[in-house]
Amino acid sequence: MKNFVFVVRRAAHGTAHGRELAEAAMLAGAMDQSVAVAFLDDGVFQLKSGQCPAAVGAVAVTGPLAALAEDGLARLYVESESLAERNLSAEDLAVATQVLTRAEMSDLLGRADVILTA
Amino acid sequence: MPVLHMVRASPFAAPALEACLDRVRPGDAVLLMEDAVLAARRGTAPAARLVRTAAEVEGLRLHVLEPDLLARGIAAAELVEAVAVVDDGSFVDLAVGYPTILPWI
Amino acid sequence: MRYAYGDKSWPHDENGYLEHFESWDEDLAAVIAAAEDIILTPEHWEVLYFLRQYYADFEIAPAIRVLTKAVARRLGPEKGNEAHLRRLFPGGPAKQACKIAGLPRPTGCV
Repeated sequence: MKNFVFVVRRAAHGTAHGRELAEAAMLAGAMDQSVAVAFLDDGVFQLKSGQCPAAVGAVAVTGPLAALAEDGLARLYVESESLAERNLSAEDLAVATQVLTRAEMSDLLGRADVILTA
Repeated sequence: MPVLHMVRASPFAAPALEACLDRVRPGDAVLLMEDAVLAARRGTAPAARLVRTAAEVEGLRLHVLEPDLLARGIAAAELVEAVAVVDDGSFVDLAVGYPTILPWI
Repeated sequence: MRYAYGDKSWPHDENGYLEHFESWDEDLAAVIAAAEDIILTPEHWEVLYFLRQYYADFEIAPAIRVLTKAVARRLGPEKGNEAHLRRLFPGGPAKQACKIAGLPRPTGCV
């Protein structure tokens, strides 16, 4: 079993990267790999509650992320400094996510066997 | 001639908004769209920059595109007062109202 | 391209997946199932309604491995295993079941 970390650094819906990474994480989790998804920098906007992606013809990203967490396919982590810089807090997020400091996030990345990003 | 500046990039990820705001002139308009709408949420450094420039540059109009706000889950109550929300229809009116459009990717 | 039953009809894409998730009903499920040579039993309906709830909650059509895990977690391991699902939907549990349940084509389906 490999320790995968998917890193999301871009905001939702400007590109489809968040959804694509969520789908990839879902497949890796279903293959019984250890999967973490790390949201940092603008990636924290992927988790924001109240999104209506259909307004720009995009597809949902918080739904698949909730499925990941609920079915135990992956663990979700968000960086506290990235949230603070964007005036967001854990209460603004649509999906339950563990908040890590930047140093803890770096440790998480350092422990990965495979890092994937988009 | 007044210029309509269209900014698309997230202010946290790229310097496009700052580069734009450094160059706007009185009577110009700025339209925030796609990831650039993230700049209009109050309580952040880019939002403070928007407010400051709006106060400094006479007649500068700041607009933010509604569908992009909705997609990202940003409510009107989260926005700084310096920006006005425009829907797709008024976006077209806005675009045809300016002889020159300058995109900031 | 449309499915038809009586005076009802439903648009679908080039692979037979329903265009509008909300427009699905049990008549349509029977029409698609018949085209796929499947006679729907209560066990089939259980999976179909499971998929519809999953899509309503998570806005994604699950790939086979993801579906198996999700069914096992919510309906128990005797239902959530690939052999059981393949017996019900020989054309591929995710692909075929999603089609009959009115979901889009599953992503990353292997």
